[in-house]
Amino acid sequence: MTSASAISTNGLAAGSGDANSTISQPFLRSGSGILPVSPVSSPLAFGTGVNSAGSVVGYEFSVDFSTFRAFLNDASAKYLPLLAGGTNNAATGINDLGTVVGYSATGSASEMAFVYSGGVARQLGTLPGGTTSRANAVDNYGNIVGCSDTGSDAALHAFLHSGGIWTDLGVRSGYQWSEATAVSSNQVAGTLNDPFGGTTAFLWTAASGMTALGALVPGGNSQAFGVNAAGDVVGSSDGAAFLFHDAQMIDLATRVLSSRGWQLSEAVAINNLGQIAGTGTHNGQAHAFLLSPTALHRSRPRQRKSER
Amino acid sequence: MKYTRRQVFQRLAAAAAASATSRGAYPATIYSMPGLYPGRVIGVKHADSSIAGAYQTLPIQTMMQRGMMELTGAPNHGMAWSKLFSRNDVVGIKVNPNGISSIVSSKAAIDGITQGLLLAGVAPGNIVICDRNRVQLNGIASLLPKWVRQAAASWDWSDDQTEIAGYNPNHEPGVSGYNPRYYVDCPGYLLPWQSPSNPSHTRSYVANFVTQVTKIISLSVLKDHQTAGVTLGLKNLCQGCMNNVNRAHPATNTNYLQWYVPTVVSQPIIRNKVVLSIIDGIHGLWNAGPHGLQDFVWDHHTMYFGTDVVAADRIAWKAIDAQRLLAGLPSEESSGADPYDAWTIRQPQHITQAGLMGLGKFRDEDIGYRLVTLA
Repeated sequence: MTSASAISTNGLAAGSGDANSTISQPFLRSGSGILPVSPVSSPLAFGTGVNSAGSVVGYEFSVDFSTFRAFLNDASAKYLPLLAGGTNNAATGINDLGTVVGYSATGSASEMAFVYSGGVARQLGTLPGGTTSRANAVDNYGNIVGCSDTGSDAALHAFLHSGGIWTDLGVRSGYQWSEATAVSSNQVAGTLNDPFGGTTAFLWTAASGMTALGALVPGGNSQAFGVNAAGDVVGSSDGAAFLFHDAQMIDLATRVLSSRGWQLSEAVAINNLGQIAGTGTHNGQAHAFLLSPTALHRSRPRQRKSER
Repeated sequence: MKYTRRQVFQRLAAAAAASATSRGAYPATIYSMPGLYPGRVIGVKHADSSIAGAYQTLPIQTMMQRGMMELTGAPNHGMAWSKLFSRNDVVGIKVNPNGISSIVSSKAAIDGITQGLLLAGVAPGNIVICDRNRVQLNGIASLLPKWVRQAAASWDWSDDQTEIAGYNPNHEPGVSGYNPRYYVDCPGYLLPWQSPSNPSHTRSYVANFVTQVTKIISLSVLKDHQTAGVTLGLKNLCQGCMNNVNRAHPATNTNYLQWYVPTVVSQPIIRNKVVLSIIDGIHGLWNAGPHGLQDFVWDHHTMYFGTDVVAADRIAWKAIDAQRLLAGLPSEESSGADPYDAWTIRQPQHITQAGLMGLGKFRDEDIGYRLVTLA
């Protein structure tokens, strides 16, 4: 069993898996195949992010399962330092500059988002008045997204942290809390959660605000996990991977030229080349997948002049 | 037609259940009770799961992996958990910390569940160990992963737990309380000093931890109970997720649990969030429950798995009755008080009643039980 978690700007993928699935180990999928990632000294570890240099981040549990620690595998494999008072941390994303984001936790208490860069981990903070936060992704401009509580609301709100400025992306009417899971050039994707366990994927931009993306089936649920600079969003809707493109949510399986034996259950990341990483089942076994657009179907994301 | 005093009482109690009303909607999903596999129960037995009374981690991990794979039909452990949970879930694990150390939720079982959830993509911060009582939860704190979140609805136990904030006389931290939006109103079941005109006495409110998670796993222990007859998945959920529950057995000769348990568990926010029941029967308790005496603990070496809480309870109930028969005791259903259990009426029929209310399969012919023996 393997599952994908991230894709880099040049198509490297990261995830987790193991031959017998009683344990989980992070992997990097590159042109030379699937490679194990270190440091991993525990039978339970997860890869969560990858950049174009092939650096992989994630977290692993101690052998006695009592703590978990964020790791970064770049030129040298290392564990990331804990924030002051922290006992656990997890890395959730990395950009091409090597900036890592994640969260640090104190025992079983609340979490705090962190940013790691240049060998130093610092607390990112929270939305105004908040006490807890989690960072889920960082793009090549240093934009960070995640969720935080606020001074006026104990429920979590999706946030964008850009250039030192916090933006509360809010919670649409009828929903209880929101979480941003992906960012690319100020396009933010995430999920709205209603009080009844229902979920709806969203896309947020500064110009349009938060747009609910609906679901593949009427009245269904959806969650967004990835977004690219063109505003294409990927995720999962009622057990099927979706692509939101040109204002339409599409069952990703309908866009795959050769999908015999595959069921695509979730798409977790999309890059500016239109490549999509996700997880599905093939002949009854769970496998990570990587889809690359054909010339006919390639979407052309809007490029910013400063795009790295 | 003449009724006995007991029959009259039973009819009145049933009528009280029928008059119960609830507040707080929560929509059903494909995972809602009885879940993805109605009537399917898997037992996994491993003779090395306990040695000299000590839980053995590796055999228990193997049992849990096999049990989940057999239940879901998945080819491996990770996929089995992925059938029920996904990366967007916040999962509450309702443990059972009440009793002597050999019959409370074990570290091996809790670790097995949390590891399965992690394999399914659930974030560590989205796994919550839940119980109604902080003091009891503290009793097993050393068994819990240090990183895992914990939620307790009240600080300690009292006869009359009607505080919305949770019974917490010394204002201790770490108590999450109950939610006024979700309750069941049963004015027919009251403690002697409670008033039918006081809503906080007639209502049982749902614990906040129930409202804050997307899915719930019941991790119960195979145990006798002097009022419920057995305390398994349904009882674990009922008494653990609501306040003001002692009114369901207000005196040693008065017992409403047969109706109260299924009435509570059928509340939409509970029945529609509970997706998996695991009954830890590595050790079983055949008398003097729920707290227990070591003299009544036996090595059963078996764990039960089901999405159908009722069906799993029915199978486990039979295992306890079989052990009682070996010990020369009557079945739970026909048993009354004894030197170790003061209550005169036991009501394992709460399982039957739950089935009649559509919470799951309770007739033996509707249950597909399979026992897998590993060693």
